[in-house]
Amino acid sequence: MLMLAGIVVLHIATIILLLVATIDNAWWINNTVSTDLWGRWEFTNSAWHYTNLKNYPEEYLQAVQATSVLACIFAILALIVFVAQLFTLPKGQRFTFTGILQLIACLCIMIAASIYTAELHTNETEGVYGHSYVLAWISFVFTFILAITYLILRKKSE
Amino acid sequence: MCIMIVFVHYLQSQAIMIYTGWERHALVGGDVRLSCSFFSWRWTSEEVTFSWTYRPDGARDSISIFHYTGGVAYVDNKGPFRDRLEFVGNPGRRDGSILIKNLDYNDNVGRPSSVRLLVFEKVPIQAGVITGAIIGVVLGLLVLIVVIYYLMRFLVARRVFSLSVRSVPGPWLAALCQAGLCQGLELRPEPIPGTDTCVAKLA
Repeated sequence: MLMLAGIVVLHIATIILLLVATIDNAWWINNTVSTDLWGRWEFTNSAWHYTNLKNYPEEYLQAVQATSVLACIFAILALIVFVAQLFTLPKGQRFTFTGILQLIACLCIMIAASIYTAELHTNETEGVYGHSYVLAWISFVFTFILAITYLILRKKSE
Repeated sequence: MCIMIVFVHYLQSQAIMIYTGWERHALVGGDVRLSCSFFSWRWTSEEVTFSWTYRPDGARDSISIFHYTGGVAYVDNKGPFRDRLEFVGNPGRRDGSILIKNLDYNDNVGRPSSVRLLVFEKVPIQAGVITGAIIGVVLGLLVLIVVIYYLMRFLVARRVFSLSVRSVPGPWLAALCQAGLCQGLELRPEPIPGTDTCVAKLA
């Protein structure tokens, strides 16, 4: 019972981390700029202004956008399927479908973070990776742990 | 900017609606057609006056690059578009479009309230096309795999639960043995484990 609650809490926390990483525009941070994946916040004249992204390698940026959105979708799907399988799975069987969905989510967020690291902001010296970027990698670790857990875990047989 | 002044016979000039594209992308060295069509409920005559003005990025004044009045088109031959501008509209059909040929990077034009021309080396990918394509393809594949999985399970389940007798050697051998040609051989159909099958012995 405790283990079940722990797994569900961890899964929900992972979904929240993935959503924050995808939605918040803070993959690359400066003193006055907070940018990616969808827009650019610039602090000029003591106010934050939101502008579109310009002069980016379009294919890589859109690939990062797509894979991070897909990671969110698959993580949420995995939670729904897990709850469904709790009620429908025969005793003693593994949660394979949930595990596979969670593994795909892990793969997607790994692809997103890797492409971002390799292709975007490679030549800029001013600025550091922001909290969304860090959260993306943390949620990669969590989704991997959860996927392995679901693939090994067996439904309790009386 | 496309300024329309319509002279309507006998009546006060009513407001007319002007349709132009907001932002056009074009390739270096190519042509672009800047369209300007106007609409008015009242019948408009050929005596319509309109002009295209051009204001470069950062400049204050705008210059007129094309003027049409009294049925005659006047193309500017001193400005940046000389020899490159062609009038391809039809005022009788309420179309005041112009064609600019042989584009260059200097032709980047930005104005707040009308046609805006941007010249690129190659046309940029629209925002979100690749994103949407990737998401759509992956989700579609997932749906396809789930559907195929359940279809296979449904089809295999139908085969397992039907009554069937499976004779291993084959029907022609059974016929031969029935004719008495195989002494000492016993043909026995094997039951499929887990199902109800008719077990028959040929002795």
